[in-house]
Amino acid sequence: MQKKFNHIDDLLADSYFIEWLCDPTEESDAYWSAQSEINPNLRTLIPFAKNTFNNITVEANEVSNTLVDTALNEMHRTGKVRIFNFKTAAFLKIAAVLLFFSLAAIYTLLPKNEFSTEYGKTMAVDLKDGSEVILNANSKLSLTNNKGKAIDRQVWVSGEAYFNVLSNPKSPFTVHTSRGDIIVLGTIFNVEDTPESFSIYLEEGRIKFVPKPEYQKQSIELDVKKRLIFSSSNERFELQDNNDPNITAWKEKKIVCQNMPLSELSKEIEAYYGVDVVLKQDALADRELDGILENKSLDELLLIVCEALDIKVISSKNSIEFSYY
Amino acid sequence: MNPEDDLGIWKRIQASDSKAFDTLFRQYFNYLYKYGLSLSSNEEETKDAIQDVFLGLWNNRKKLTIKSSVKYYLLQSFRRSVFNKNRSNSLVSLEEHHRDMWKTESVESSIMARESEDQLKFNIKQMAKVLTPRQREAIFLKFYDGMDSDEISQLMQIDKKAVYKLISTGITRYRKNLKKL
Repeated sequence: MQKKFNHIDDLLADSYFIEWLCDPTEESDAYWSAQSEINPNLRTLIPFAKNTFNNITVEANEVSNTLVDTALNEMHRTGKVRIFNFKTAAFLKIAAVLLFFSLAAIYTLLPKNEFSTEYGKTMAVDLKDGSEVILNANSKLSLTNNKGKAIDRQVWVSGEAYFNVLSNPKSPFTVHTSRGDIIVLGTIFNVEDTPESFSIYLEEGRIKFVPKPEYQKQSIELDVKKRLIFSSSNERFELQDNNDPNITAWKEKKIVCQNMPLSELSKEIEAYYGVDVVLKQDALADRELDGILENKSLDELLLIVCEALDIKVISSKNSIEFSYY
Repeated sequence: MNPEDDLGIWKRIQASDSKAFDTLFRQYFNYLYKYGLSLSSNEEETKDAIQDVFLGLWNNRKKLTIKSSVKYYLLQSFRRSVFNKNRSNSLVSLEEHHRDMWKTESVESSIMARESEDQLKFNIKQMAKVLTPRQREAIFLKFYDGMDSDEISQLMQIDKKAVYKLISTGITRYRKNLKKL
């Protein structure tokens, strides 16, 4: 068979030629020297193509050491990889016994058993008393160690969490936050306690909030569908009617947009995924979205936003930039 | 990445040595990350997939037998992990991103196209825009790693003839796209 080879691309496009370069055999050697006899062009083309092929390189950006460290730390931190050396494990056992005897008295008061979520993840935690907590992204829930004792119903939370507390009038359930304690008899509510904002939203039942004394002396009772926020401008707690449909949407991995400007949505994305969102043109901030966004993955979310607003997005590891086409 | 060293490290991992685990992780992260970007081109997923592989390695260290090559084991379980993730996520959205990035990078590519004809450099990011995942993978394994066709066909679970074909069409398509710019 006679093939036409006028350019090295013709050779490289021929998989039999590639086979010969990768794994030459007597048979293929013979074939290509015969081809060169028929087509003298090949005498110069073949060495040229061979040279091109042998000099092919694949470039990739070097991976930063920080990325490697972060990835490794994440594995240790998530606790999925329980790594101790045998020696360390023995040492830890001894240390734990010593610690137990010396600190037994205050041991039970210290927060224990931490659950924390990374950016982009939520987590459901079932408590021993039958209550349920759903942790939003980048949040932490701590429980006391109450082995062998009556169930201790107090937890510490930072970040955002949704509580469904089992009713038990004899034993109130307490949520400690950075700004005060929430005392619960059995109810459903949402707590947000981050450096930027603090709010409690009551969905069902009744709760009492006991602020830390430096903020306010008297406690505050919340009715259903009320929201207690801490206003950082005047350092006071304020009770409001809730009109934010988004308040507990996060636990269904949804963002409910009612004419939500892109600037607001950007904040939600930043908080949930831990990325920076940049709006390239100022006018983008006021573009509004209407509807329920399923928060399955960042990629999907961005795609939907872009389609809805007819804008484009460039995303890299830690930042996202929206811009007009 | 000397295979004998690897097996030594692996024996220590089997004996629950966490330092050895860290060493192996550091040794292969860079390589697997680049391999992952040539497969899926999503950085976050690639990192997750690497973590999954090492998690599996650690959790199964007592049961697992690695006879010949730790690297081969890692590559095999890594590509499985990447493909599983890709199946569950929408590939469409990833492709969308690349189209955007392609626009911003066209200046760089046109410079590359002007380079002398016998110098062909594949750039992992740009490969993702013009080649199919399997073409990318074959090219990565052949020209980045330097694997021979037997190893590639074994890892990718395809016939050797298919490997040649993927490399050939990969090169051709990549060169064509460089010229267009």
